[in-house]
Amino acid sequence: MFLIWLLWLIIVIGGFFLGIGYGWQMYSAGFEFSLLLNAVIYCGCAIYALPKLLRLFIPKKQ
Amino acid sequence: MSIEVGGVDIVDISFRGVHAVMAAAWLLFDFIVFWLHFKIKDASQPLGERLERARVMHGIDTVVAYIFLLMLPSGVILCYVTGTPIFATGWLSWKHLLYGLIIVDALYLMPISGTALKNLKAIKAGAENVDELNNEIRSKMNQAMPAVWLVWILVFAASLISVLNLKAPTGQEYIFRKTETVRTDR
Repeated sequence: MFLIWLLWLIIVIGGFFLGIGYGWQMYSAGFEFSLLLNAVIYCGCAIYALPKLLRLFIPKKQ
Repeated sequence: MSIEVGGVDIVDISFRGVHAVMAAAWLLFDFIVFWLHFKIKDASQPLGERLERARVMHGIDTVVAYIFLLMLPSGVILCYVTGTPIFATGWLSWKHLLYGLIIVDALYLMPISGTALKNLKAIKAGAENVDELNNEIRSKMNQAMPAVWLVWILVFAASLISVLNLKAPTGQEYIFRKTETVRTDR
């Protein structure tokens, strides 16, 4: 269970950190293909993982 | 932050070392998982041996999962320790892209992981649908192995990017020791 917590926590926190960071870098320093791909992939993974992490905090009612 | 002993920055070296060892272990363990899977999916092999291998593979998979997850924080910390800008370093952004693809690959592998061990335990416990369980093991493993190989290739490529961009820290000619200290020791 600890591994599941760690998995979703790192994907959500790391994903938003890197995704937003690369998005911001692209906004401030100009377009570059690797920056765009990083922003899309990391934000995408974080958005996918967010409901799974929230479900760990708020378990489904039976 | 730096703790220096004999010209060696212990904090810097430790983080670089841990990061490199994690990558090396990841490459090795992924290969072991690939090697183990052949007998696990082979229904003609003795059940006890397949179950034993599946247990070992599950244990290795758990270690690989920890390495995979801790690679990201350890890399971010390493950037701060070595003074590498995270978002403004060209080669690092390509390396992060490879790690991003590994995350996507891991999300694909997650539902498949653990099927073999679960099914083999069920067979040992006397399940009636042995053929069905064996077929599921084979098909899931055949589905997973290309993704495992893709992870291996991506980790190898990321390691190669790091090695090709490895620099001696500022004020050092030698990678592990400060130049002044080496000259004083003569």
